[in-house]
Amino acid sequence: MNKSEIYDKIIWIYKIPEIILENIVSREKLKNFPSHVKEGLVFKILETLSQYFSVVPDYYYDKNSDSYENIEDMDGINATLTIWLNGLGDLSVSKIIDGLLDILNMKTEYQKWPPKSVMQFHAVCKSIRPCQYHEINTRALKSINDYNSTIKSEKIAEDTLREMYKVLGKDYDKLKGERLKNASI
Amino acid sequence: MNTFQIVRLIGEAPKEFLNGIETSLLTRMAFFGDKDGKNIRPGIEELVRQTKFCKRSIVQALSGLTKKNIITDVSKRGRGSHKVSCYEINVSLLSEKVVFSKEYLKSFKAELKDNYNELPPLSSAPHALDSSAPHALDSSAPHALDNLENENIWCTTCTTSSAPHALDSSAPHAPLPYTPHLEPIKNQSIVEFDANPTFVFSEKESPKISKKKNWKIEIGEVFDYWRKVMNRERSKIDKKRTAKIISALEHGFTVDELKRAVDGAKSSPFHRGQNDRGVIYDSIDLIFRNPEKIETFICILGTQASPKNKNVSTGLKLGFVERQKSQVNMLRKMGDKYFPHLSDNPKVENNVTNLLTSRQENKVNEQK
Repeated sequence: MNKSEIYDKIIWIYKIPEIILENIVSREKLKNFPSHVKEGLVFKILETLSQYFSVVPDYYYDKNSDSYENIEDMDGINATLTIWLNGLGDLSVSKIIDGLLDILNMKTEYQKWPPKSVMQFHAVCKSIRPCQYHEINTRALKSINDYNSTIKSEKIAEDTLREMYKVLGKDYDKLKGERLKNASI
Repeated sequence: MNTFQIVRLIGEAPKEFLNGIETSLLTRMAFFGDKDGKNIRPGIEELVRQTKFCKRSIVQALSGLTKKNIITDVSKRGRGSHKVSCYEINVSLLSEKVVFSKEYLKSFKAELKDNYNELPPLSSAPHALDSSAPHALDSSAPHALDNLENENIWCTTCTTSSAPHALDSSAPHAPLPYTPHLEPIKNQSIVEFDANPTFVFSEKESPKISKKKNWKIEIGEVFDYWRKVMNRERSKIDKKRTAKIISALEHGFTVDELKRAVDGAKSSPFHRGQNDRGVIYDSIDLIFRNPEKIETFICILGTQASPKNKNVSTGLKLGFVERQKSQVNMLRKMGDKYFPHLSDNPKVENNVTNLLTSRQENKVNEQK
């Protein structure tokens, strides 16, 4: 893997606040994404976080170095990713997205992106939401009623992703085509 | 015709033609009707009471008799009508059957006689089978022999009895089958039917499979192999186990085949405890139960491929790690679909591991 590719992957995380704050991917749109797209998005965020940022708490290295090694050898899954997934395992995807939005909007005491550790992120996600979120949710529900079919919602999701990739400086359709080709091969 | 004569015909009818239930039912029915065997009007309940059979069996017997045309239902009643059923016994058909059976017996007796003549002459036999034989086999006596068993009894009794039997005597020498003919045979009969195999009426059972061959070596070999494969060093040879192995060997299986069957039992995950109960099934009793079992175990050894995910193949619940792995893979697929530029290649993982290792090294250096 080239350095540029790694850079692209890392920069994606740094550009997420920009993308959301500039209303390229609005909150409502993000919430109205189909569940599998949401899951994919959250997973990719967590994966990139676990891969390229030192978001794992320090005590994993200091105290139990042996146990860390054991986790690392866990059937090809990255140790940090497993920690992230386990840490947020009890939360739903919508809650994780809420927490993500909270951090991006500087509404938490941590006020930083990317989050430092799983515990922080978990605490933000699990905190009780103020009433404004409830309003947003009701709006979201209305919008879902407008677009009943999942196909329509998927189309909207793809459109938003296209816009997102434009911000990143890439062609979404071309990349997807390449990806499909590779998968078929 | 007399009712007793009808009853006699029923009694003399061959067993193939009439059942036990049917005969008893017919005899009872004969007494209900006229002398010619007509106007028989008993209800089923009455028949049940007298014969002491259940209702269903009587109904079945009646239907069977009507099918055979021994009985005809004269009352033309429709379905659901409350008319009394009226039966007639077909006497002519019964008499035909009896005559047929008599002729068959005669022919059989003639054959017997021929075979009898071929025997070497028995000097001490008082009943030489000449014309002066006391029981002429073609006798027109009313008590013609009904079956072979009776004949056997008849002959044995005659040997013991000292009374001379006049030829063509119309006098019944014993009423059949009501009088007790079976006297205990004190003096052994002179005419022994066992002298010639043609006179052996009761077929002897075929002799069992002989265990003359000494299977000791084979049994030991198979048992040792089973003990070694299944890790049962404490188990010992038992009567049951030896019997099972012997039966397998006698069915034509070689020692190698039996060993392969043991290997098959070892290789199948179901028999090694990956089943609903979690019990291991590897006993000799199971593996060598019958040839079918042995063949299946041999086939298992040939066909079984190692599954990718053992838990999926067995249908058990996934373990923690495997569950997580599958979940991660699923999510990764989702992510790759919608975020193509973040899709991982195998190279990426290596890089990641390198990154991680470098990070660990840095940490170690710092600690130092």
